[in-house]
Amino acid sequence: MKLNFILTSFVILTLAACAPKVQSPHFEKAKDNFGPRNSDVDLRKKGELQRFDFGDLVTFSAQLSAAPMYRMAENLSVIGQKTQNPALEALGSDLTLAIQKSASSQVAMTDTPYVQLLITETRDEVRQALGELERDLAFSQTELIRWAVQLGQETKWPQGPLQPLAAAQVAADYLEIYEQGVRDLDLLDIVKTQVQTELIKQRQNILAIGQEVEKKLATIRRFADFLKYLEELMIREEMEIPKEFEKTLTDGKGIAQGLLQCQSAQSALSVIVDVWKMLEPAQRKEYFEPVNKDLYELLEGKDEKGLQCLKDENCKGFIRDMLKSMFILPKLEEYGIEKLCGELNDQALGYAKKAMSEQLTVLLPTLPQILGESLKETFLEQTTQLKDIRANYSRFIKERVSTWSESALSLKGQVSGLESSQLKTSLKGQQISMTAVPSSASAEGIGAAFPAFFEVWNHQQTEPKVHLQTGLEMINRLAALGGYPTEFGNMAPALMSPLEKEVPLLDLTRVTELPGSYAVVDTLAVQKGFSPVSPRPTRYDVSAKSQAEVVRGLSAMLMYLRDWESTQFDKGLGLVTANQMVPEYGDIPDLQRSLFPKESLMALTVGDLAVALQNTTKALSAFFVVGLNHSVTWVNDYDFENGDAAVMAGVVDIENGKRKSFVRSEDVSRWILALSLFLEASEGIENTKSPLLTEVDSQGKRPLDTLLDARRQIKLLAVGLTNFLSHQMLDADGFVHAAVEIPGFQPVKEAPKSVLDQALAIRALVKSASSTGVEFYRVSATEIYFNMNSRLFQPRLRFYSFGGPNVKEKLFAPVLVESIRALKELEPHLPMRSQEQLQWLLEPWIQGLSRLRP
Amino acid sequence: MRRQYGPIFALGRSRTHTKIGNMAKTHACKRNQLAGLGFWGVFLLVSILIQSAYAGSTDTLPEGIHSPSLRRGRVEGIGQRYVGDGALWSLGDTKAVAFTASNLSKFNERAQELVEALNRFGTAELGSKLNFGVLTPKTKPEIDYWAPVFARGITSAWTVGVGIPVVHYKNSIALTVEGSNLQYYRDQFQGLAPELDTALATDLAHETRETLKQRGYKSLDDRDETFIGDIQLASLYRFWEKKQLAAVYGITLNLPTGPTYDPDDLAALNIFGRTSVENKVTMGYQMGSQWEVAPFASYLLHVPDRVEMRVPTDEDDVLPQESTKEKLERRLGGIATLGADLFYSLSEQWTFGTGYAVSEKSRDVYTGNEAKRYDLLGKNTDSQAHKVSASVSYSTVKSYLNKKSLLPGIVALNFSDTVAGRNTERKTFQEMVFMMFF
Repeated sequence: MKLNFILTSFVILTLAACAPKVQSPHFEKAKDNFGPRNSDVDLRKKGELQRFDFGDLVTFSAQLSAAPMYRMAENLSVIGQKTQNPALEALGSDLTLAIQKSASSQVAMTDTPYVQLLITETRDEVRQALGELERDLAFSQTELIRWAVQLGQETKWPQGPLQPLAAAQVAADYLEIYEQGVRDLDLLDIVKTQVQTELIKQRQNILAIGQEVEKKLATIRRFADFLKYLEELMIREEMEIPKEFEKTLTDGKGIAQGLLQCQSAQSALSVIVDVWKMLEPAQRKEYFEPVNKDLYELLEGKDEKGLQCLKDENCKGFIRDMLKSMFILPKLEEYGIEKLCGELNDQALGYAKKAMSEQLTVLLPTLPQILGESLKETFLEQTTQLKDIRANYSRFIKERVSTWSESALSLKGQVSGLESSQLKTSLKGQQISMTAVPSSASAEGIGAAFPAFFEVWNHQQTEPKVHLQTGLEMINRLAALGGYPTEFGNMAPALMSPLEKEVPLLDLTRVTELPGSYAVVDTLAVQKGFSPVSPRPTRYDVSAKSQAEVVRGLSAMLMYLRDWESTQFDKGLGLVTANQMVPEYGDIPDLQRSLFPKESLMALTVGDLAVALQNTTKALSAFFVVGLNHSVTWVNDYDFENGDAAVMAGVVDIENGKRKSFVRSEDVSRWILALSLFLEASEGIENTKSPLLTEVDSQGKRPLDTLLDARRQIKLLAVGLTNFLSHQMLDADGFVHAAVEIPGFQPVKEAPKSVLDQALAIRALVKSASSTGVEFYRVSATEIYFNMNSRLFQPRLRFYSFGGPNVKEKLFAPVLVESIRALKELEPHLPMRSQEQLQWLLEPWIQGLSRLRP
Repeated sequence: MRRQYGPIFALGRSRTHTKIGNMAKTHACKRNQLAGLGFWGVFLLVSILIQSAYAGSTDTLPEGIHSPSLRRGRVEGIGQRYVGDGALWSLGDTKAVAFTASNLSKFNERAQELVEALNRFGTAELGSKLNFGVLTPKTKPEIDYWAPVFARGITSAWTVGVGIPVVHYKNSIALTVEGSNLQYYRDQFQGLAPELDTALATDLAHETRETLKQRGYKSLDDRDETFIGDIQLASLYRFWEKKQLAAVYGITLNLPTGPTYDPDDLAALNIFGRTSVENKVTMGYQMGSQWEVAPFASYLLHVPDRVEMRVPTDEDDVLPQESTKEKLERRLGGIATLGADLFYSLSEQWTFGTGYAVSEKSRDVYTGNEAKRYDLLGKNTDSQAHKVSASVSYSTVKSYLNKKSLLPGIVALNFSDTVAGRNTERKTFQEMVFMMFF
């Protein structure tokens, strides 16, 4: 039974177990890690390296325009930063300054675009402000005088003679009450403050003088000393002698002189006569009669001639002589000459002191009048100055700018204009030599200068004055690009010229509705440093590379001028305020604003950029898109709403108004770099404070919204260009073509591949990866780099070349530096071992470069 | 006596619940590639039939004897399915769809543009390697039921009965997406263009639900519902008997009292509401005192009916639009079954059984009045199933007759499983039966 049971159970379980295992369908595993399809190679195994000699391997003999020179300087700075090599960073900075010095024309500071802008942009506002200030000053003057008079009427002035200190105290009390009252007057704060400050000062001064005079008078014994002190005091304190006292003072001086010579009866008599003459009849009676009635009567009976004769020792006349010699002089001698002279001195001194006390009593009630006169003078002086500024505003600004630039920038009235010379370069030992060869300005040079100076400003060793000076020069360039109004009311033509005949000259204020394409043409003659000789060129070339450099340069300036965050600008020009130019008005709050308003300069930069970038969609667009079916459509013909999907874009040169039929990879790379920098610089621009961008226009739209929308389009353009570079321009051998024809995209046979193109492609791909967020582009960059290591590394050169192992060529310095920068930017994204190898490869080059001197 | 009460004993060996008369569901399965919840047609759960109760042998109820019984059963394994080549897959996997670059265009006409566009990024053919992942409907269907059955012996050779199933259907449903590399693409391309963002933000599960909603399907929510199934009437007649050998003929009538077919509910069982007749002949051969073998053969015939269904426009029309609804004539395929049971009586009370059966179902046929692809509804509806069963029962009938028990009754535990098949779900039954006699 048991067996049966077991068998049965077995059968059941066996059958049940027959159910097969559950299977799972096989689905292809999704790939989510797209690394490079090739791998790095060990360069040390590629061949024996020769002894490294920088001088033997590198050449820098060429005649170059400013653009490649600036780029080289910029690249050196960046490499210096990335390798933490201060010498290299300093070399880049010094080279930039040297290039500018050699290649740029000089222009009078007062004729620069920014000064013109400063004049025109502030003239109306300042004139209006000054007019208002004049009116306020006039009102203030009236109020202050009214109050002075009112207080004078309300004050109980002392009636009796006053000692100097007491008189000074009365005056000080008046001024104190006046000053307190000024606080309640409805005046400009600045006026109120100045008046109060002056009153306090005057009050303290008066008290000090009162004390001093009081003290001095106590020690003075001689009338002559009194007069001398009084005269010195009036001169020192710049007091004006009232006319009615002039004669008295003159007489007093005569008496004082007589008293000093009072050593005989005749001299004593002369003094007596002088005193007699000086006194009024009542005073004569008061002073003479009680002392000597005879003398009084004698003098009373004398006319002027008689009195003069008494003074004159030589006055002849029998009776006179007899009277004087027999009666007067003996009596005087009898009295004692010394005693008489002493008494005369004391009397004169007492008289003078009394007279002064009485005069002070008289003078004090006139204090309001004196104060009013003083105020009138002060206000008149200020008003005159203001009128002069209003009438001659341009001159005023130019004078002040000149003064400021000399003191703050150490400029001697001249600044650098655009680069209008090419440079003959050579490398002798470690010395880079540059010789200027007169030429024309170029769009490429205008653009390339900005990023180079951006690095100068970032360099910590740059002197503040150099920062200010070069910053001002770049802002001049910024203003010149878009045109600016001059002090004479006309527009200075922009460096960006209209490319179509019927299109008017550029007006940046209408940047959102530009009727045509505007661009800085490839080469242009300039005058006064910044103005194009031909604002509307009849024949022009607009190369892709030049335009890319203009956009890249402006983007660097946008980075420098981002007003929503702190930048190097804030440590340079951002610190300069208007009152530094007019220190006498330093306290006026309105003048404490920046002389270089960051948000306005940023808006100016955005305006220039908008003009340059709008060309991409205008009738003469140099850009095309490639459809999924490989069709080529110029961007101005592309239907953005309903057009076929397009994810690739390219750019061509425009030569004499016509598009070329091929695309260079360098141009595509440089445009990617330019657009990437723009995207990076404008990241966060929605936080701008610039009213020019945030204020709603008549159509209810903010320029900022247009900009943000454009930014999205620019990002797509950057993606399209990067796709073109990484997909369409990539050859089967893994290197980018130098150029391809359109349509068809066949390589241009006459344009061989170059190391520079590969390096630029790597830079562009790395930069695009960060600006567009498509990190996969770094994989493409890495593949090109691995390919270079695998196929282009030449042990003899210890670098890359398409020339093969027996290549005899030397490395051209700008290409070498551009390549090193590209590889250093790729380095952080490489595998660790590749990073180490790259550092090994570049180390001697970086050391060699860092020893160069401009 | 034993013979007389044998059928009662046999009631416990309800391996006949392995009846697979309702494979007819699969027309819905294939067409629902996206939702893919086609486990309907899982089985005809009503194993309560009087016929089936006696199918293991040739016993019938004694004349005048009533037999009320209650069945409590549970069906598992219906989340697995034998596919066309006989392999056993999770039901969800059978409906899983991989959305790759190569087939995206079937679902969205602009998908190829997306692939082509992504291929322009570098040279790594990013577009061709785009994978939205595998959309899999994850279901965990569970069915249990209560079925009161009442049978009566009309004569000593003829028994009739009726069964009313109360079905509890529970299913947790989820749409999952696995194996996608969309995140990589999102990381790369997020923010470049709204259209691209939208494409890469596709949530297949969400999209599926939205599509279902747009097309008038009921939401794919978890189910927990109880309803009356199809009532069954059965007759069992022993038409031949000779010592150790006997033969019975059973006929079962399935009445359409359960829920009718719902063309808008992809998660519905949709196996009720049918009229069918099953004829079955069973032979019983007693081998000694303890062993019995019972071979049987049956054929289930569905009565043609008319149901409203959605008709796919083509093979790729995985979710036919609401506008495709049409009242169709439905001819579900018949099911022929051949099998045998073996019983072993350990004692008067304890009996063990095992069995094997193979069923073959023919293709369903749908007919309408328009020029539509009705044939697609019948695709993959022909099926085959191999089943094994086991049972154990405890009976007090004999001890009752010997006055050792208070009541005559049987308690039985049945188990069965589909061990092989084609186009059919794996069904694992567990059933407890309580049976009384009076």
